[in-house]
Amino acid sequence: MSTDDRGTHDHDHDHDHPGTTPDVNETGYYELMAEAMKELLIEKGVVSADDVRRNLEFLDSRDPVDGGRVIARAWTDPEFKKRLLEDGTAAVEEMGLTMGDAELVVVENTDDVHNMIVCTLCSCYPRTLLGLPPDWYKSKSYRSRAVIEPRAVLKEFGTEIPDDMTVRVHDSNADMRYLVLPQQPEGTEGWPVEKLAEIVSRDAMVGVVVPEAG
Amino acid sequence: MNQRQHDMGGMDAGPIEASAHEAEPWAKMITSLAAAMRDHDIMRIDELRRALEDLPPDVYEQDYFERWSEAMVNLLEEKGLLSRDEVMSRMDAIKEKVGD
Amino acid sequence: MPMFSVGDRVRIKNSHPPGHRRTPFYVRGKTGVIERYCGDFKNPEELAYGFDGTPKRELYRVRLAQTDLWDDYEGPADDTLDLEIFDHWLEKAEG
Repeated sequence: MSTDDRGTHDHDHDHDHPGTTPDVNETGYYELMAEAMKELLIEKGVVSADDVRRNLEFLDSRDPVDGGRVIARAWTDPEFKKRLLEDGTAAVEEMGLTMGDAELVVVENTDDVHNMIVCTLCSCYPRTLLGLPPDWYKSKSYRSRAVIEPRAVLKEFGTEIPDDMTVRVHDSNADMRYLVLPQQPEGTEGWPVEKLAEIVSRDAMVGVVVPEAG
Repeated sequence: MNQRQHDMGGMDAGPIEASAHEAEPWAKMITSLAAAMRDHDIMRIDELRRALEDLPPDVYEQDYFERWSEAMVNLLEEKGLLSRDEVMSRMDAIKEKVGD
Repeated sequence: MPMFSVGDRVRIKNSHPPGHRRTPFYVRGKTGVIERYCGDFKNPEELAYGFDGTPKRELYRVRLAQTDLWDDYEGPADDTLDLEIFDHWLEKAEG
């Protein structure tokens, strides 16, 4: 559509430089594609460099420690815990965290129920609270097996749930995003909230492990 | 009726590799690019998911951010915002400039 | 006035329309119970194609028994699978 002088100029020399056309099998192909897309979209005024930078900064600032702080507060503040379970979105907003376009549902582990989160259709995940999802969460293995054999999957993470407990799997296929509220581990009673936040791993908030005092 | 490629619940699959490495800069960048477009309501997450689901099977087999990139190019072309040819040309140009 | 109430037994339609759908294959045709009404949301099946997704549709969390979903489910009968289903995919289940 737009005459790209630079591109035309380069193509005049195409036959003199046979190795320059990127090959999908070469390393760096997708790095090039990402850069090309960004340059073009900014040049065309679809987005601004500022927009991209701002979003990148936000993305980089997201960390599971934020989710950990939510859990730790729920462990130490029963009223907050009640609000968290009733309306997760509003409760995390109290702590300065946003859910963006999604809504948060917090599911509580109890003596009777263990919760586990998956997105079988893609990789929906509470990114604003936990950052980017780990590779395994997005893998075919997890997405396919978490729903059909959750207990076997949990075992692979070193988590064994006895048969007298219920395993509840949540497939986040719509506008809800899920966070598991694990049980506070024994031996941590009376710990300050900052210390408690440190023992809540991302994996515990996805529900594949349970936190330990260790 | 066949289960579509993205609709993975219950499909045959192997053990879970508990690897979790930090996303590469280019992967974070396209994520931010998509987010920026969503902010301006230019490209919706639903459209991007649909573009992913419609990828040819061999492209869908690629790693996560690789297939997202391909879906993005297809979707942006569909919307008339850029063309795959333009992207390829620009990749050429960047590669030459960098001297690889 | 939401179409379904908490506790209603519902069947997820065994339909396989082409295009972008957010009802996973493994729950189509299965029966469960309304766990909660999530609210009204824009229809992703429409948003995916550039439409504005309105009128909004009712979204429900449906709880299903794993032993109802999978023939060889390895685990107790109480294990469940919860997911969100839009109203147009649901019908009241008999009995």
